[in-house]
Amino acid sequence: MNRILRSVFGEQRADLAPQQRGRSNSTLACFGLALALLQPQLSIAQGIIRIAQLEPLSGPFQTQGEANVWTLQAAVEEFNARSKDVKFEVTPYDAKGNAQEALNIFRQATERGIQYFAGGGSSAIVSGLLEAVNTYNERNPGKEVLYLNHQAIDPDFTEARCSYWHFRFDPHVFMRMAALTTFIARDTSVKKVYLINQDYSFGQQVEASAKRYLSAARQDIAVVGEERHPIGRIKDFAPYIAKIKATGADTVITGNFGPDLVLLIKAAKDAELNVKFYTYYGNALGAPTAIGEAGVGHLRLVGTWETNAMPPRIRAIYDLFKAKHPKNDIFHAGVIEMVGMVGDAARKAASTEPKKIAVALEGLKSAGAFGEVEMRASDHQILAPLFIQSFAPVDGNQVKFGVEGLKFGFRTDATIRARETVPAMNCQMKRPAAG
Amino acid sequence: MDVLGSSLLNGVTYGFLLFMLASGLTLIFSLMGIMNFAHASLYMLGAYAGFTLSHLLGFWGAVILAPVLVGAGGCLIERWFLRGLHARGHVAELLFTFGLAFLIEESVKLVWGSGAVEFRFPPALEGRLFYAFGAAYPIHKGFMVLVAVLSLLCLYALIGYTRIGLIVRAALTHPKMVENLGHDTGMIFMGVFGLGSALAALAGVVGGAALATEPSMAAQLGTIVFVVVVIGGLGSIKGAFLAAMLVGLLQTMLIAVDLRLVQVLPLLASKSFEVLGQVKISQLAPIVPYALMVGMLLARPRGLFGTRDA
Amino acid sequence: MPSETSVMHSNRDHQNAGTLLGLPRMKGLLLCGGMLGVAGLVAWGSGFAVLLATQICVLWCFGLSYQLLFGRTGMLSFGHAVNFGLAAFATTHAVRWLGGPGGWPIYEILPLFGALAGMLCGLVLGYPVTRRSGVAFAMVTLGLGELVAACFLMFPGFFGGEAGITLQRTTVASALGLDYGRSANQLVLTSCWSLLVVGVILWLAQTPFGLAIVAVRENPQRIEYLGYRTASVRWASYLVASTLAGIAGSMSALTYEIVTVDSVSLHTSANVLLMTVIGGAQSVLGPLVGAVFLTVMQSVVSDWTRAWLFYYGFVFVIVVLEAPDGIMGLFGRPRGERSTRSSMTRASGYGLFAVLLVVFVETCYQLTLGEPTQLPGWQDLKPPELKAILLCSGALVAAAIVLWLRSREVQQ
Repeated sequence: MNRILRSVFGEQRADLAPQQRGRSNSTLACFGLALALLQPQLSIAQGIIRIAQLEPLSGPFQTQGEANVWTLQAAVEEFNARSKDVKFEVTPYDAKGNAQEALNIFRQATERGIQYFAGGGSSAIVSGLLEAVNTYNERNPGKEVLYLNHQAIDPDFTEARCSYWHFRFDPHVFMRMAALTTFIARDTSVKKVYLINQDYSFGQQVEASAKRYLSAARQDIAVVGEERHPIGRIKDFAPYIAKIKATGADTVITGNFGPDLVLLIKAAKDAELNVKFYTYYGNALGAPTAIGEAGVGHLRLVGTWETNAMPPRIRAIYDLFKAKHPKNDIFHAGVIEMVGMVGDAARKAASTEPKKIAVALEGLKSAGAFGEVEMRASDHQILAPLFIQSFAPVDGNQVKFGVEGLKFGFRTDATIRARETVPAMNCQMKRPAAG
Repeated sequence: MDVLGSSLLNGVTYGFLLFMLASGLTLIFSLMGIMNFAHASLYMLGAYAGFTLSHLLGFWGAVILAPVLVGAGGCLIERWFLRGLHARGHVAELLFTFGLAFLIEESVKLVWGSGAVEFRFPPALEGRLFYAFGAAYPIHKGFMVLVAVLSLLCLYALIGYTRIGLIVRAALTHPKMVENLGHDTGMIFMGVFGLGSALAALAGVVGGAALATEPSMAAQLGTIVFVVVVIGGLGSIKGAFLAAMLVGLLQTMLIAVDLRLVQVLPLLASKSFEVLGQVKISQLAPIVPYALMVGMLLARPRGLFGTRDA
Repeated sequence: MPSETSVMHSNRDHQNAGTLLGLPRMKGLLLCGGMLGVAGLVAWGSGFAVLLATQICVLWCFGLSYQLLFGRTGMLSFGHAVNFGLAAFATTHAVRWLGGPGGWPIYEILPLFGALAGMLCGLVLGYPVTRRSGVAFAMVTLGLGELVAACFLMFPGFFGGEAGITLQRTTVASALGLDYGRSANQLVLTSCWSLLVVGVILWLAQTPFGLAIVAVRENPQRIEYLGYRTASVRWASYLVASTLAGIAGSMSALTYEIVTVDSVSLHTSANVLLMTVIGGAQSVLGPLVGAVFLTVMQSVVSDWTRAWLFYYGFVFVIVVLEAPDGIMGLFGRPRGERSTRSSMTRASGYGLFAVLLVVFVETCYQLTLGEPTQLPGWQDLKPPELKAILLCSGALVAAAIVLWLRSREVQQ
C-alpha cells in the first residue's frame, strides 16, 4: 500500500511541505504501535535522498530545533524545485534533548529505510547518534547509513572521534575562533579581553581556543579574566558584569547562546557596561530582539550566514523561509551547504547509495552558499568562508534586511576566506575496506 | 572592592525577588502543610499574564491585574482540587501540585509558544537609578525592591494587625481549634492560597520583565524557592526573608570569588583530584543552595526560624 | 499522625496489605500474554519494536524499584534517578574496563555490577536521607538529586562531561555464547532480569520485612511501639529499592550503549514517578502499564503531535485526582459497585471528553506554532476555521470540566 501511494504521490506533491511527503499515507495514524511493528521495509526510490532530521522540538532547546527544521525545509524546497534528477525528502523527528530517545528514533528510521541522518541539538544527542551510526554500520555491512552534521561544531567529531560515516558542513569552534581572532588582531583598540562561557565542552573549547589564538595573533592583547557558568541556570548576570567591569576589559568573547546570551547582554545594558561583545550566536534565538538598540556598535559575531550579498539561490531560500516564518530568521548556513553538497555528490556518483555518496563527498569542491566550499577528505570537515558581522540599523545599503522583524540587522565587517581558517588535521580515520 | 559592593547590591536585589516568591510559599506550607510545587509555575503564569495584559492595559494595569487574576486562579485550585485531596494526606497534595506544575508549563507553551516572549518594562522604568561601585543600577531593579518591600509590609500588617490575620495566625498553629471555634477554615485556606499565588504572580510580573519570560523560567527558579523556604523554616515570614537574603547574597557573592577549590582545600592538590581542584568557587555558586538545603533538612528540619517541623 | 506518611490509596488496600495480586487470574493472564508477546517480537518483530520492548522492560524494572519505595513504603522520592544513573555509569565503566578480547564471559551477569553500585548508593546516601520522612524526605531527595546532577562537570572522568560515555555491548563475551549485538537477544536478557526483579519483590512482600514496610507506611507510630525503628526499616527499604534501581540502570546502559548526565537528572526521577503513579503504585504490573504508557507517548505519539507532553501531564493529574491507584487500580475495583450500563456511559463520556480535548489542544498548537501537526486532516485548515474550532471545542471542554467538578463536589 505504501509503495503504491508513494509511486503515485511521491514526486508530485511539491505543494506539501517536505515532512508530509513521508506521511501522505495517513490511514495508519490510528494504530501507533501496530505501525511500529508492522511497517514494511520501504524501498529506496531512485533519485530520492531521504533524510531523518533529529532536532530538539520540545524542551529547553525547542526554538533552536524549530529554526533548523524550518531552514532545512526551505533549502530542500528550493533544491527540489530546480532539480530534476535528485530530490530530497526530509522527515523531522523530535529528539527531546535525550540520547536514548535519539537512539529510538535512529532505530525507527533505519527500519523505515532512511539512510541519512541530520541534526542533533546537544552534544549528548550528537555523540549518541554518532556512536549509533558507527555501531550500526559495523554490525550491518552493506546497509551503511551516513550522519550529516550541520550544527554540532565540537571539534572532537572531526578529530579524536572522527568517523568515515560522519560529514560536517559547518566550520567548527577552532575555525571560527581563528576567523574571530584574525579580525580582532586588526582592531588596534582591543587591548584587554574577558572570556565568559558556559561550563561544558563547547564553552570550554571556546575559552581554550580564544587564549591560544589570541596569544598567537598579537602579543599585546591580554586576557584579563575567564569565567565559566552553568548552562541555563543563571538568571541574573549582574555579578559577572561587575567582575568584567572590575578588570577593565574592553572586549568580551563569549560562546553563550539563547537565554544565556540574552541575559548576559541585558545585564550589560543595565549596568551600562561599554564593551564590545564577540559572540558565536549573536544573531540567533531571540538575542537581537532582547538586545535591541543597545546592541548597536557593541554586538558582533562570527558566523556563516549573511543577508547583505545573497546570491539568487540563497535569496530564494531566504524568501521561502521568511514567507512562512516572518518573525524568525535563518542563523547559519550549514544546513544549506549540506543540501548543496550532498546533491552535488549524488549527481557526481549518479546514485543515492550512502557508500557511493560518501566516496563522492570526500574532497568535493562545490559552489557553496557564499563562495566555493570544499569537503576535506582527511577528516570530513567542510572548509567554508566565515563572516564577522556587527549589529547595525537597517539602511538598505550595508544592512539590507532586519533580523527577527526588527529595524536592526547585521552588517558584514569582514569576510574571512576558507583558506585562512584551515584547521589542523588531527584525525586518524578508520576507513572501510574498498569495494 | 567595587566587585564586592556591587555583588552585595545585586545579591540583596535578587534576595528580594526570592523573598516575594518564598513568602507566599511558606505561608501556604505553614498553614496547609502543602509544599506547593506549582508555586514557581504561578510565578511564570504571572509573568505571561503580565505580558498579555501589558499589551491591553499598559504595564501598570498589568502589575495590578495580573496578580489579581492569578490569585483568583489559586483560590479556585484550592477550592476545587486541593480541598478534596486534603483527606488523602500530604503526599497526594504534593503529587497533585507536581503534576499541576508540569501541566501549567505545557499549557503556557500551548498558548504563547515555546520561545521567549518580549516582555519589557515601560520606558519610565528603563534607565539608571544611580551609579554605585562602578556600575549603573537600573530603575527597574529599584522598582522590584520597592514592590517587594511594599508587599512585605502589607503582608506583615495584614497578618499582624487585622482580625483576619489573627485568625490566620491561630490557624497556623492550631487549625483544629480554630475550626472548633466556628471559623470557616475552608475560606481561610482558600484566601491564603490565593494570597500566596497573587504574591508569586506579582513577583512574576517584575521578574519576567527584568529577566526572560520563557516556559523554562519556572523550572529554573522553582527549586531555589524551595531551598529558601526550607532554610528559613516553616511558619515564619521573618525566616523566609532572612533565608532569601542569605541565598541571594551567597549565590551572588560566591560568583565574585576568584579562587579555585585547590586554594581553599589544599588536600585536593594531589594528581587524582586535579580536575576537582581546578574548579573555581564561582562555578560552585549555583549549587551551594542545594547543599545548604540538604544540610539543613538533615541537621535541623525546622529551618532557622521555623515553628513546625518539616 | 498517620497523614504525614500516608499515601493516596483506597480503603481496600487495608484488606490487600501484604499481597500484591488483586485479581490473580487477570494478572497471570497478562504476564503470560506478555511473555508470548516477547517471544513473538524476538521471532518476527522489527528492530524498533524490539528496542521499544526492551525499553519497556528496563522502565518496568526501574518502576518496580520505585514502587517498592513509594507504593509500599510510602516514601515519595524525587531523586531516585541518582541510584539508577550512578549504577548505569558504573556499569559502563565496568564494561570499558573488563571488555575486550580475552575478557571474562560475564555479559549475562553484568547487571550485578549495577546492583552493587545501587547498593552502595543506598548505603551511603540512604542513611542520612531516611532519617526524615514525608515531605522532608521528598525535599531532601530533590536537593540531593540536583546536587549530583550539578556535580557532573567536576568529575568528567566518571560522567564523561556533556556527551556522556559510550560502551560497546559486543566487547564483553557472553557466558551462553550468544551474540548480544542482536537486539532480540538483549530483549530476552532484559526481560529475564525484569522477571527476576518481579520475583524478588513478590517474595519480599510475604516476608516479615515486607509487612514491616507496609506497616511503616500505614502507622509509623504504632510500629515504633511494637519495637521496630521506622528509620531503620525505611533505610532498609531504600537500600533494596536502590539495588533494584541499579539493576535497571545497568540494563539501560547496556541497551542504549550510552549514558549521559540526563540519567541522574530530575527529568528521569520525574518520569519514573509519573510512570509509576499512572500505572498504579500498588501493583506489580502497575509500573509495567506505566512503562508502556510512557514509551507509547514518548516514542510513538510524539511523532504525531508536539502536545504529547501536555497529554502526559494531563493524564497524570487526572490519575492523581480520580484514580489514586492508577490504571491497575481501576481493574482492581470489585465488580457490582456500578451497573454495567452506567460504566459504559461513563466510559463513553470520558472518551468524548478526550476527543474534545485533543481537538482543542491540537488546534491551539496549530494556531500558536503556525505549522501543521502530523494528525490526518489538520493540515489544510485555515486560521479562521481553526479559531472557530478552537472556540467551540474550548467551550465544550470547559463545560465538561465544570460538570465534572460539580459532580465531585456532590461526592465530597
